[in-house]
Amino acid sequence: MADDADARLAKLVHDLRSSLTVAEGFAQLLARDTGTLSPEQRADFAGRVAAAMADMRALLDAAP
Amino acid sequence: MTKLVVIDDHEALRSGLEVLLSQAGLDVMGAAGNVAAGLDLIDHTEPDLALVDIRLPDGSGIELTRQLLQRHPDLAVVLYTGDADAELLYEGLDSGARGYVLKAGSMDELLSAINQVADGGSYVDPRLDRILLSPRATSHVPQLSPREREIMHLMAEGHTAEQIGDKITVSIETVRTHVRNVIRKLQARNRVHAIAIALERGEIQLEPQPGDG
Repeated sequence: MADDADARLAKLVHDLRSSLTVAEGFAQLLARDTGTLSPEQRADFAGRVAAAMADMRALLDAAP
Repeated sequence: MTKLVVIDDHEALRSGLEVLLSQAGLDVMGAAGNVAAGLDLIDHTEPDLALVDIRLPDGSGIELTRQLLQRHPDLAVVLYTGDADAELLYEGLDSGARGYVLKAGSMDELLSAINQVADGGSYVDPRLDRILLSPRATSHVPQLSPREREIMHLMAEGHTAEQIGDKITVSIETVRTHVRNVIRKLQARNRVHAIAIALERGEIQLEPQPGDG
């Protein structure tokens, strides 16, 4: 029982970290941009930040 | 330009890493989400470096590393994992991986690890120092000489053999000879494993990094 809970928690942490890495990485790209990114790239990267945040919210909402 | 592939089962992370690593100037040749697809991808693309998640749906990234290095001995493998587990770390280093990066780290840390390994060096996440520095009952193993400790310390900091040679004014061959001797003395499988054992035994110590707990 405790093993199941530990495994679920480990998976939650793993999935949250993966989404956090994506969100942070693309947010940094946008923040550091000196005008080299195209409008399409900026929109794509901002969308990836938003999608990663939505994934994190869904993971937390589904957590016990 | 370093050619690399990404093997990770988390779809958003895999696809994100492809873009982020490309933006950082690396040549990302492809990505795969499991062991079988990873083997196939690397057989076909022959990259310089593979970034490999340890937990994959059809097997372990550590076992994948062993298979990859049998088939492609020159491939550099960086294990990328959420687990800060001691046994997994030792097993990972035993597999021949030259880098061990925790997902708890930032993208900048991952890039720094990839670049160090691509330049011929090695990298173990500084968050694992506590595990590596824990005492181990291996007192029968011979001690390192001061010169060997100096070289292993520089190697643990991520310097390549060439950079170490320049720094301590000896030839690259001399550096390599010392490293081979250290590997033999410590009964290590490779350079990264030797660094891990040297740290664990207290033969060398790393300065704490800013932000370490």
